[in-house]
This record gives sequence, C-alpha cells and structure tokens, in this order.
Amino acid sequence: MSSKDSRAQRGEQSRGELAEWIRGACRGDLDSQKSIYQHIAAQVVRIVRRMVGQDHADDVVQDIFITLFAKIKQFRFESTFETWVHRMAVNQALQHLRRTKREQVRVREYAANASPQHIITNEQSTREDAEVLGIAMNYLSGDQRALLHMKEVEGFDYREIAEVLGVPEGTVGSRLNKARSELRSALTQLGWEVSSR
Amino acid sequence: MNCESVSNKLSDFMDGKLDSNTTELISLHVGTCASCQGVIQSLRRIGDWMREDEVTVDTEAIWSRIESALPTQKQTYTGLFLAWSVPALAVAASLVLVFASLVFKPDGNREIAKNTSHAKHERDRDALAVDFRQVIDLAQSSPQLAISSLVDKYDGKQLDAEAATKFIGYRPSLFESVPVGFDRVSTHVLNMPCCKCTASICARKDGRSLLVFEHKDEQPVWFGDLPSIETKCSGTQCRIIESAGQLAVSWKHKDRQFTMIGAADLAEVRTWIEKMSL
Repeated sequence: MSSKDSRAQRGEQSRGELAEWIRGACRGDLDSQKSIYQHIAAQVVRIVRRMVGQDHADDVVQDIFITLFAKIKQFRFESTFETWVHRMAVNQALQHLRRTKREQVRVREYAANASPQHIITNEQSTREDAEVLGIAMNYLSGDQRALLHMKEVEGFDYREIAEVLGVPEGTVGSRLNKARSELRSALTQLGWEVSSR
Repeated sequence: MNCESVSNKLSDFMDGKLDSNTTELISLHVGTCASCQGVIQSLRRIGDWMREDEVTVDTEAIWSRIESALPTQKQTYTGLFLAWSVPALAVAASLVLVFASLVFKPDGNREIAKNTSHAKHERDRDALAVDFRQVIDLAQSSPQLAISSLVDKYDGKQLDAEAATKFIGYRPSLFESVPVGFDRVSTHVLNMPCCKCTASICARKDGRSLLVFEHKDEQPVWFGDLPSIETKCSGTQCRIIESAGQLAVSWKHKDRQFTMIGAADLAEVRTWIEKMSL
C-alpha cells in the first residue's frame, strides 16, 4: 500500500471509534485489542522489517503489541495514537538491535558483500533489487532506517517524525539529509547508478 | 552558492522545508549544476525504490501469536484489586492462587508451534515462566540454591559493585543501600533471555533471606503465565504472586525493574519499594 493510500485510510478512520477501542483495550477486551492491531499492524510490521530485517521482524512485532496492550493505559491522548505506537515500535526495534548487536554484524556482511558481482543492471530481478537495498539499508543505523522509512514510505511530515524520535523538528531535516546521503553512498559502492534504473 | 554549501540543504530542499529565499538560491545553483541535479535525481529514485520495495504484509499470522500471549480478561485484576484494602489483598492473593492452581495447567493443550520463530518465542517465554517458578520454589528452602540454579543456567557470576556496574552498564541500586533490617549477602550477574540482570541475596537479622532481581529492559511477562494480581504499594504499581506463604513481587522505578522473591508480607514489600525509590 502506498503512503498516500495508507494515510488516507488513517484519515478516514473514525477517531471516536479508535478511542472506543483504546478504552476497551484498557479493560482487556480482546475484540478491541484486535481492532487496534488491525488498524495499525501493517505500518508497525513495515517499519520493524525495515529496521531489524525480515528474519527477526515477527518476534519484535509480537513483543511490541504485547507491550503496547500492557501499557495502553498510559496513553493519554496527548499525541496521535499512531505516533505513540510508532514511538514504541521504533524504541523496541532499537532495543532489539542493541541487544543482538545485529547492526555490527550487518555492517560486516555489507563490507564482505560489497563486491563487483553486486553491480546493478536493468536485467536484475526485483528480488535482487530488494536484496541490494536491504544490504545498503543495513549500512545505516537503526535510527536512520526508521527515519527514512517514516519519511519515504509512510509519508510522515517532519513534526510527526520529531514526535516519534523525540527530537526537535529542526533536527529531522539534518538527520534526513545525512541518512539519505549515506544510503546513496552505500548504494553507489554496491554499484547502483540512478541512470541505470 | 556552490555544491558544498548546497549539499547539506538538499534534503530540506527536496522536502520543501526551506524559506523562499534559500529555495530560490538553491534552485538557481541546481539549474546549472549537473552534479547536484544527479544527486537530487538519485535521492528521489531511492525514495521511489523504498516504496516499491514494500511487499504485502500478512498481519493475521502474527496476531494469532500475540493473542495467545495476551493475558485474558480473567487474568487482569488491576481494577478489581485497586479498591481493596491491603490486608484483604493478601488473603485475596492466596485465594486467587489456590483457585488458579486448580484450573491452570501451564503445559496442557498447548498448540504446537508451526514455525521456527514462533517456536523460539514460545521457548523463550516458557523458559522465563518455568525458571521463575523454579526460583520461587527453590527460594523457599534455599535462596543460595535458587541463585546457583540461575548461575548455571544463565552463565552467571558473582561480582563486586565495580565489576557488576561494568558488566551490566549501570550501577545496581542494591549496592547503594538496602532497607534497615537487611544485609546484602551477595550479588550475581545473569545473562537472562530478556536482559542482563543482577540477582542479590539479602538476609534478614534472623538469618532468613530473600532474592532481589534488578534490570533495565522492559519485560512484560516477568512471571510467565503464572496468575498474578496488580495493585499499588506505597504508590507504586506492582505485580504480586503468592506461593506457600511467601510473596514474589515485581515493580518498576524510573528505568529499573525490580523483582523480589521471598517477601514475608506486604509490609516488607512496601519497605523495599520505598527504599529502592530513594
């Protein structure tokens, strides 16, 4: 689903209905918990996959939602629910990355894989494209992956990203600039050229 | 403007976040600079590529895992017990556990995990639940034996304050002080599935001991599937289970999660919560 579709869908979602689900989830009502899950799960799965990779994503997503429902009484309607959930998802994915030290491993994998056979051609399959992007993304920090995903895929604005990451809005632009630049450098080292796409 | 001065503003330029004057200056430069045009083109292409890379997400399979791990409404006692007095709470805890022990069979009718990651998570979750039940059982007769069991299982070692601080990355609260009437006997560090934590034996003046675990990471299912009640002790939300006249309690203060096993009563629980909050 495109970011525009996703955000339009969120816009159509009745905030009153969401508030009802939240109150129900606070009481431990399973139907309300499932409604909340269905409302936000796809976005959470996407950003977690982007941050920790496909292999670990399901476990992390499961932990995120268990934590979310355990802490849902702490949601005070001071930010949007989606922002609150994204903040929790990003923090838990970062915690997972720190715990497993996966980033360092990925950087080593990246270095080992950055060889001429990864040069991109028009004939390469979509699957290979995804692998190359995945390798390049793993050259970035978890924060940077979350930042780029929220901007490029989910279409968050700077204010929303700032709320999720807990940083001033003015910092988002400079961090985005750095993340985009580093991703571009990583892709270039892997042989990617914009003209060939 | 030149390429160097433009480069750190290209992201904001693409996102339309610059003031009109700066936007105009950059537009003028980019209009005549093939290199900067190439950078912008590639950054836009990367955004497109990231969006194209997104595949359909099957969330139903994950929900079935989440659902099986969520406490049922019957296990959520918070609202009910918050209104109860403290003496009634202790009695209620015993009654709840007696009832739960009759109906709760942790190993019965468990659905066989259908994929590797699910199975791994189940194992991790069960490992925590089983281990703490064992710890609770062992701690009743010998806290030292309970610690030895954990040390064997989780590659533990006894450390002094400096070494423990270095190992887990923060100074454990129990090295600062313990409540009056208790002495810290030993502290071990453990590599638990959830996190690195410290496990300390603290002895009362009469020689009886209890165990206190401290860690930083969130662990929502600390007692595994054991039934528990939630209430406030000294203003702090805590989770309590009771076994053979002893209490096991978990609570959070700031960024620390504490779990105490072997408390004699709620007065002792309150004493520890207040001391660890200082």
